[in-house]
Amino acid sequence: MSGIECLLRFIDMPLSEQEILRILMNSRDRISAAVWMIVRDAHMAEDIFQNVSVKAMTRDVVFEHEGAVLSWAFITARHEGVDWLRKTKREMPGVDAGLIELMEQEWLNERSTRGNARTDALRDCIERLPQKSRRLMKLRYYDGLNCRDVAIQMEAKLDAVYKRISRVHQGLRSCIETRMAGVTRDV
Amino acid sequence: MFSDNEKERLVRFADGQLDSAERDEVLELLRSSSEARLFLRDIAEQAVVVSDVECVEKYHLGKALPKVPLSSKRGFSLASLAAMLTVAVGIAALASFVTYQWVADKPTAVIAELTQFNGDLQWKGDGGIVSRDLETGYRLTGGTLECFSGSWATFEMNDGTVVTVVGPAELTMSDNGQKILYLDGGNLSANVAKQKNGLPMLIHTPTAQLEVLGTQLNVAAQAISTTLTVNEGSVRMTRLIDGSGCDVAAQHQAVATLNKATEMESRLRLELVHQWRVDFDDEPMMYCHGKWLAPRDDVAGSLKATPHSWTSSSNELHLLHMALVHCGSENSLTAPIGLKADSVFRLRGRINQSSSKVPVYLVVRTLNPKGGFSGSYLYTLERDQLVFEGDEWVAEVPVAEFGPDPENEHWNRTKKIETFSSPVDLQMSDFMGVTVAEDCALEFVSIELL
Repeated sequence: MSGIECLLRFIDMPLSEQEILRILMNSRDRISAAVWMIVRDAHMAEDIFQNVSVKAMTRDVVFEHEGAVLSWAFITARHEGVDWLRKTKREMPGVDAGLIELMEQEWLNERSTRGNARTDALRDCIERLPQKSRRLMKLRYYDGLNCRDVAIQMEAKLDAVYKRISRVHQGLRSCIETRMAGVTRDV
Repeated sequence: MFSDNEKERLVRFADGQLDSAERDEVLELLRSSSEARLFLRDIAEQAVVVSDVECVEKYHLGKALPKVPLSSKRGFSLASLAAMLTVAVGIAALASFVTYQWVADKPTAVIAELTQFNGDLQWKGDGGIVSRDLETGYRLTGGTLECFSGSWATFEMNDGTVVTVVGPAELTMSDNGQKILYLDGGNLSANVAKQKNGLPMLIHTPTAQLEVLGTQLNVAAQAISTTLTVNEGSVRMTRLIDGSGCDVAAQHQAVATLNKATEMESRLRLELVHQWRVDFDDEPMMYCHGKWLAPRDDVAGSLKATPHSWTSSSNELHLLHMALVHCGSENSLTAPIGLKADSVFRLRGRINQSSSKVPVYLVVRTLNPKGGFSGSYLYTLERDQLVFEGDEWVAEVPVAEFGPDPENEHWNRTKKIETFSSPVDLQMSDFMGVTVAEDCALEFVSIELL
């Protein structure tokens, strides 16, 4: 076998199950987030990610590179999200398919420039949120309340809740950037 | 530059609270601005990671979850995954591992979500934990939902089946591939999604078993009888006392009692009637909440309001005195009661005239004639509207003057239950009289619909 043949064979070699799982796990938050854009329920997004992982392990078609795995995973997760909305007769979010695909592509393009460090930074930043901000985010995203119900729970005005959530999101982003730059700073 | 106002609009967009014009503007912003898309992607990523962090924290603290997530979170960390990947394992092992973590980490599978409710509920689930601080969105595992007098609750199962329980009722539910409900008492209305062949939804009551493949139905269960009304589809009803059964088709009804002598049969649903009267000279045959006072000498029998606790939408506990009459007999089919625009309630009762002049709240709970629960409607009867004839008062209240119960509006924001501005053209399922805080010794001698 010539060197070129060896190289071609290496390039075409299907990814192993371990490699597929590693790729999926490294993109877990992005895939779950893409599903959240559709289902708007963090727990359901996580369930769908796990379904997609199991499917990736058990399907017959092989993946030959990371991009193929992720592209397949985003599309499959999106379809599962839409199926779940239909089955549970929930309203489709007002984001058109083209926009979802564009954002999925942006997530795919980021894959080489980020990794677990960013996810770890986000977790640290969330854990360091002031108590009130943490409760706000928990009510909204873990408990799954809409902002009106969050406002009732926190005895605050709805507009104030929107402002505060927006600021916490922005603060978390700044915190991640600071940590990624090697500087420790709380939100 | 992407402004703070635009960020806030994206938060509102993610909350689903924009009108169509605002939504179109946001969509245009998202199409044209990579910064806007990045912020929305940040929101989504932070949403799932916040949820994950909270779930992991609760798991480690060993606390009972206030809401059980649809799945347990993150059964394996990235670090443990990396270690695991150093070991060469085959696809079967990997698939088994992922599946194991996925399933084993679910403390209990979630089978439904509470979508609306009004009044006092209690949930016994998650290994026997009792919860009374329920909220819309609460995720229900297998367990028992208790819906107290005057309350109702709607939950949606994972396949889209929507069930409304009208209290007083106790419903135990499970779903291990087949939905099984035990309605120990009370009323249930269900819009059942198509079930798998061979795995019908089973509804057990004290006197019957119902097999449902996909339909809209109402069930009223008491200790000695079960009344089934099918609006769409078909339901197999089996009487437990002797195993006899019948198929109940759309627009048909059947009743299963403990009396083996009666034939189990499905009958065409009775036509709506628009006149109804109940008095209390004899012990009521229908379900009532309150104390029946037998007639004595020349004093007519009555139903007296009895104490009842009530948690309002603002989470305040109130003491009520309530008398409730369910429309329908316990052991035979009765015609449904329709409310017309010109219908009037004529009420006769007694009340402590020396008590403070708090109003009497009249509440009508309704069913949609096409099927399903259709909310509560309220009329505030001021004390100066009561006309006294000796010890008894009388009042006439037009049905059209009942309006939606404000509590109902609060809990029904998702509009899964179709409600209307008045109960006109709906079917009455219950009638209630309530006083708040003070015991005014409210009694009903008779309730008439004219």
